[in-house]
Amino acid sequence: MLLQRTAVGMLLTVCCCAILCISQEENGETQSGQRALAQTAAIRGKIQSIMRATLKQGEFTTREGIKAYTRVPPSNQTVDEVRRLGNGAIPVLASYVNSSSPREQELAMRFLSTFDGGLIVDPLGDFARHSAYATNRAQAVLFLEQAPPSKALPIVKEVFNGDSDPYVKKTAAEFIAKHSDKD
Amino acid sequence: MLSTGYRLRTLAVILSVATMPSLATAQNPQNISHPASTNATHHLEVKDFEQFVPYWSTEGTWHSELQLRNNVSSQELIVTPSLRTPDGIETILPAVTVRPQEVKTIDVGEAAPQVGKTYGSIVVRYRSAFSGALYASLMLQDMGHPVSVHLDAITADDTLQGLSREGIWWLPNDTTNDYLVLTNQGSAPLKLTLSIYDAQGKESRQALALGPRQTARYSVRQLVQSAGFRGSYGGIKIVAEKHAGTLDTVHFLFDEAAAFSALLKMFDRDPAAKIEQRDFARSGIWTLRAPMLALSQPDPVLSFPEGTTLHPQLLIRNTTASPVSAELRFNWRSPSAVGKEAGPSLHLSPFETRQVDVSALQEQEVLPAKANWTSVTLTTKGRPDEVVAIAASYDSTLRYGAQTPFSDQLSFRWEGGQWQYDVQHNSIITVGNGGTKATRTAFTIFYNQGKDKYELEQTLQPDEQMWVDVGKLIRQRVPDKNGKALPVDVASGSYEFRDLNDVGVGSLFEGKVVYDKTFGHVTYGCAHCCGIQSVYLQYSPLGVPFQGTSSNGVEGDDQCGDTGLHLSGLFLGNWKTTNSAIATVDYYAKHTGVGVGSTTSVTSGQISAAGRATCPQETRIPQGPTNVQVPTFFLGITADPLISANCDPGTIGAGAAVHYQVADQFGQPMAVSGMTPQEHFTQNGTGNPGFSPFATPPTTDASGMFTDTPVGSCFNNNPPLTTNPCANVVQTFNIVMSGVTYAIKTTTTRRDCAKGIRIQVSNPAPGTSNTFSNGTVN
Repeated sequence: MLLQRTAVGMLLTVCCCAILCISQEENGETQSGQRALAQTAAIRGKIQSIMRATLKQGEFTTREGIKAYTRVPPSNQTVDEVRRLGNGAIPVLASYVNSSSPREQELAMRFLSTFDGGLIVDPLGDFARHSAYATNRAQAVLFLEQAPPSKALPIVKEVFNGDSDPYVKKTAAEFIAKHSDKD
Repeated sequence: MLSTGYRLRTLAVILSVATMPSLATAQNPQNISHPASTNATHHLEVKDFEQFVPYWSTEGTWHSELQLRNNVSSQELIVTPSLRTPDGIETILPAVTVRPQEVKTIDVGEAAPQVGKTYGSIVVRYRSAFSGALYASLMLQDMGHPVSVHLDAITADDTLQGLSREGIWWLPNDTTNDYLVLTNQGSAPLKLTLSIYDAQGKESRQALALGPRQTARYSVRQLVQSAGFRGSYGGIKIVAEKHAGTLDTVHFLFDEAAAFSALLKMFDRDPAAKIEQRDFARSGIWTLRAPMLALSQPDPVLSFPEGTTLHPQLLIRNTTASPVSAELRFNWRSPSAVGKEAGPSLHLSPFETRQVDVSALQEQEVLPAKANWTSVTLTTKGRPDEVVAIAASYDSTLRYGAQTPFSDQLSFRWEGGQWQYDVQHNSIITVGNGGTKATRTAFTIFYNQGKDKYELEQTLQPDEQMWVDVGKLIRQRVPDKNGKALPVDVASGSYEFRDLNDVGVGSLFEGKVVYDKTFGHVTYGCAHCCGIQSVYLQYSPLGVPFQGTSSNGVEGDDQCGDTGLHLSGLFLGNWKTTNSAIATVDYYAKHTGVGVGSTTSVTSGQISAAGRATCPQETRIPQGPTNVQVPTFFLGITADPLISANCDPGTIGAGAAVHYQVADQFGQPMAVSGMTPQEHFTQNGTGNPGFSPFATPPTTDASGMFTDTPVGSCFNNNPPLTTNPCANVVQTFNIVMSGVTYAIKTTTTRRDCAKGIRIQVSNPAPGTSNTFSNGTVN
């Protein structure tokens, strides 16, 4: 009986330990997730700030007093700043595919294009397939030149077959013609 | 160092998709300096060419059929034949259009009845970019008799001096007639010395004259008798004092009673010729080959009567005043086996002619008695054509038999004349590997006026021969490499061989016999070797990025219409630049740009050239400019209109995508990938600091091109604009190559408006600026 109690006690002890350990582990994961979320939020904030500043540089007012802007490419220092954020910047930049501002989308792609070719295929592919703006879909196809052709080509073929915009189609056709021999 | 694949590609790629209109240009884009081809200096030039058939005859029962084959696969050929009579008077025949790979035949007697029953020579004229576009030959037949010879046309070359025509006479019985025909192809009179030799080399010499375009005919039997020579064979030498390259000669035998004819091939001999020019196998020794000597027991395919026994023999002559030695080898074949045997060594006295009885070699079991065919290889350690030879194989009556010509020629491409297959005829064609390495060989039969083809491929080991019985291919419906069979009703066509491993020199020799079952007579025909007529650098000028590398190569055109042949392998190891402070070059033609500027790249190599009747090996030294480039200009190539300048909601503005080509200090395109163009710009006079990468994608592609997009400005449209506001934008540039930043002399001036855009790409060099515009620009 004693033996049984001891065994039950040991079992309870083990279970409690296990529950405690799991709980501590969950706690750790939660903290880690929270840290990651905080990190992403920080990256997102930093990128928003950089994008705002970059787009601001292109703004001007005409002699007639009409507000206007033109595209301003980010400086090398700005690009370095984004790259220093590490690969964690990639999903943040990728999320700009849903931005209502085509300028922001274009700038996000430009920053994406400075990262390693293999990592940017999917994000740029999303822009090429899903951007609401034809100019940016075509732009994404051009940026896919930075990616390995074997990965980029299926995406561009999909764009060529699925996109009804003539300029996007033309850009995709040129990409395919240039890379089909390397397929 | 940049890793670049330097290619001066056409820029048409960005213009090729026509679904989108490009922006209107104020200047023709063709004015932009960029090459249309990789070698800016190489152009095919269409010229007038002539070939000469040395003899025709319509006298008595003689019949002459002119055969014209178009060797160029891509275009028709218009040929104008003219008959020349013995006195050199010319009669022009109607022009003939010959389709690619087609063989057109002309009955000379029917074509020019006004000329009457006579003889002479024929000149065929054509206009082409290729000297060897035409393969012309003449089938001379004594109608009603098994007497026929096949005569090939050759070109004239008045630059050749010191040549002699060398031959062997043979009078196998007391009744055989012969014609030694001398033809002056040119317009200058020829002073000739004709020498006849007996077998031991004793000479009988006489002087002859031949007027412009004239043909003269002699009987060697009479010359031999006049000289008092005994014996049935000996030598012939004809020397022209001047214009030796316009003399052609033919010697043939015919005997209607014995139902016999034979062509005794004559050779051009250049005493100054070097072994390197004719050592096609690069073996260091001069080699003659006869590909198809019929042995004592004839191949049943020849349809000779049961029990026919042939007497194969060789006649070998020393054409020089010094003793020479020669070695013989045989590659025989029977229905079930092939083999190689060494033959006798010969030591020939000056001008001696020696008979080698091959049937005796079979009796002595040097060669198998059951072998039907052999190729004969004769080698000497002397200069080319110091020894000449003929091979013949006839029965004791001379009625049944065959010949095979000796030649030293190996080639990468042979274009053959007419083959025949019908109730009365069949053709056997062979190709052999005379080189020292195995080679992949393509054999193609053309039929249906050259429109259809039948293709075989086989790897041939050294000395191995592909043996093609055309009738058997047709009868047995043997599929080719594509599974296609020859139609059962096809009766004639042409053929070609190609060495797929060694383009530019090649190691193939060839032979063909057409036999007539009615008379049991076999006539041999030769194919036409296609030499290289022009050699040029693959890239001229070659652009090499400063501190980067680019590779060049060598290409060539053959005389039969193939262009852009890759010959780089023949020119390895000989590359140099004239100024190594500008560029250096390695064994494989990889150039390194070490200093900005221009130099000349040069290399050398041996190719099989386009000769008078042969394709001798000659050294070619192609050269061209090499420019070590630094990026200096952006050429505005074209621009595409965009829906807008990527304007946010509530704003409007015209947009465009501008395509640029990076050009060097000479205005030549720089096909270098990985360069990063950067811009500095001002809008309405207000600038932003520094230069930033702006291209999409950020670096140039392999052609050295990049795109600037989206270009344009967006204007507030809330409330909706009633005017067309505009802004002035000025872009200036630099570019980063290999970590070094280079200033660019180009300025792009834009007028960005809500309803239109104008883009002016300005360069200091004339003709390199461009303006693109779209919509309304104030």
